[in-house]
Parts: sequence; structure tokens; C-alpha cells
Amino acid sequence: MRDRQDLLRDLQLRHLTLAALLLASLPARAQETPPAGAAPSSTETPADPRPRVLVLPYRVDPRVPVEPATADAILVARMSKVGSFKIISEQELARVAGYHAQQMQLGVSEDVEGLLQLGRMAQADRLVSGTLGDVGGTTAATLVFINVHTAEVEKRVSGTAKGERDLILPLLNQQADAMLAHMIRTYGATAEGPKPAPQASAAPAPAPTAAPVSDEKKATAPKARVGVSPFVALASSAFTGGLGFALSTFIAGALIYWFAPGLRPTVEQPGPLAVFGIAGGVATLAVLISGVALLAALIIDNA
Amino acid sequence: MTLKGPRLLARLAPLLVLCALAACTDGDGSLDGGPDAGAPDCVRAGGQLDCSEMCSSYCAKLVRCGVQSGGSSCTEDCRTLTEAGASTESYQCVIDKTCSEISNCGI
Repeated sequence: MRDRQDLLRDLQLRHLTLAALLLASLPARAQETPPAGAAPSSTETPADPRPRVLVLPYRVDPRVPVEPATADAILVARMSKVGSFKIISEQELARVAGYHAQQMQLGVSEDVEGLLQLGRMAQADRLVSGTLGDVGGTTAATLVFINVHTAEVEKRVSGTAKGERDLILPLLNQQADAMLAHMIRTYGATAEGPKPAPQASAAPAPAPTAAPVSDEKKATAPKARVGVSPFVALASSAFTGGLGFALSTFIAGALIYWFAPGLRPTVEQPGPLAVFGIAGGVATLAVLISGVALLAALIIDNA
Repeated sequence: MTLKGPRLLARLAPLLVLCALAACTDGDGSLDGGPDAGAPDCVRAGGQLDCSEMCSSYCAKLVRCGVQSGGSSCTEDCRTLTEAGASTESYQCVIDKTCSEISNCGI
């Protein structure tokens, strides 16, 4: 197991990876980013009133079978879906990475205060930080949303998944969704873009954000689907019908048997009750066959 | 010769089959952990998108697969996102896949 210094060193490298991911997922924002060597981005804050959110790389226990870059990519992809806040750009991340390197040289630990210092250095209003740990083969994931100004943890999402990659990624997806939903609720924005800034502005008002879904989304929304295959429906109908018939003959036969003793069948005189017995037997056989067919159909349908 | 035993068994067989089916399926006819048959989709009612049914299925599927999350309401978060215009495809994907396949359901 790597020690804390190794993890911090990895974290520094991953800042650069995260920056690349951010740029790849936010081509429009890349144009806003000043060229390398330009003045610090503090000058762009007044022009862009959106809250600035610093998305820090995940801290991942090496026993967790998920690459840190994958966890970062999931988080960044989710954060990029809302335009009501500004994701910290490459330059800020590079500065934070440099600061992180200083921290490592000085041996400063990465606690909440350390995270807040990173946020302040990047001139962020909020920051998102996630961890992935391993507890006896079960992965425990935590995601926190911190207000850099007040040091308040505005939102904390935690969860577990069995230590298989197949189930950890959906957990990360869900947690990123939870964080994104919190941001949308808090900032009152849609997933399509920024809400009009609350501050007075000389610029024309942006388009209203009341419409929840764009036409494109409507067009691509999945259509309602037929639930089961015809084979399953047929087998299910046969099973249900046979079962109903078998139960009804069984109940009717039992009622006649108990309440009409004179009609009880004998070898010499089978009587009408024997018909119920034969019908019930046939129906039971049909139920058994259709039940097996239904099971086979379900298995085939689910394969 | 008494035939009570086999007769009783034959009459109880349908119930046994029914119970077995109910025990190993998700209640909608699909096998445990498998894709949900007839997965619900978002519906548009009165101009508003209602994804509550789809989100319930999505979150129930995660729980069945062993993904447990605390501190947040999965269904509520899912509704917030989908009804605000986020794509429903990744949620539908989880519903449509088996537990061992849901990691492929995009980011």
C-alpha cells in the first residue's frame, strides 16, 4: 500500500490529466481561457458572475479497482452538464498543482483546510472533492461540496458498492448525479445552460430557462417500449390460464366432495366428480408444462 | 392403493411454480439482477416531463445490484436531472442491463 506522500504525488500528476479532461469536455470554455502566460484569471471573475467550482481529482485507495482518471472523468463529465457555474480552467488547475507541489515539499497534510487553501488559490467559490476507499473488499465512496468562503460542507454524498468495478462505476455515476442535482437545486439552473445572473447587467438578458427540455432532447428521448417478448407473453398467458382453470376445478371438486357426499365417485360409479378430477389433472399438467415454458422464455428473454 | 400424495402434489405444483417464479424475479417478470422487463420511460404530462417511474426503477435496480448510497435521495436526484433536461439514456441503460453490465452505462 502506498503511503500518503505517494498519493499526494499522484494527485499532483492527475491535476494535469484532469485539466486535459476539462478542456476536452468544455470546448466552449477553452476559448474563454487566456493563453498560457497571461495574467491570472482573477480578471475574468467580474465578467463572469457565475460561481466558480474547483473540481479536485479523486483520492483513490490503490486497492479500489477503478483508475483515478476514470473516476475523475465521470465527475468532470457530470459537472460539465450544468452551465450555471464555471468549472475552474486549466490555468487555475495548473496553479493549484504548483501549489500542491509546494505543499508536498513542505509536508503539509491534505485536510479540509488544505482543500480550502487550494480553493482560495484557484479563486473558487465552491470545490468538489471525492475519495474512494476500500473496506474489506467493499468500496466506500464519498463526495463533498464545500463552500470555500464559509468552509461549510454544503453537500456530502456517501455510498458503498461491492468491490467490483462493474458496481463501483455506477456508484460514482450516482454520486456525481447527486452532486449535480444539488447544484441545480441550489443554483436554480437547468442542465442546458446558465440561468440569468442575479446581478444587474447592461448586457441583454439571456434566454429564459423555464423550458425543462430542449427540442433535441425531446427528439432523442427514448420511446415507450413493449415490456416482454411475444414468447414470454404467450407462455405467461398459458400459465396463468392453466393455473386459473386448475384452481377452479380443484375448488369446485372439493366443494362437491365435501357438500355432496352422494356424488363422491366410486370404482363402480365414477359419477360427475370424476370429470372434475380428470379436468383438474389435465389442467395441472398444462400448468406444469406452461410454467417450464415460461421459465425458459424468461431466461431466453433475459439472456 | 392410495393416490392422495401424488394428487396433492400435482395440485400444489402450480402454486409451487408460481412461488418459485415470484421468489426469483424482480416482480415484473424479469430475473433478479437482470434487465427489467417493460422498463418505464419518462412521460410527458401537462407539458411537464415526469420521470418518477423511470427513476424509481433505476434506483431500485442499483439497490438490487448492491450499490448503496446514503445522504441523498437517488430517485429525487434522478428526477431533478432528467426533468431538467439531462439525458435519460444512461438511466434507461442501467434498467436494461444486468448487474454485471451496468458499468458500461456511460458517464
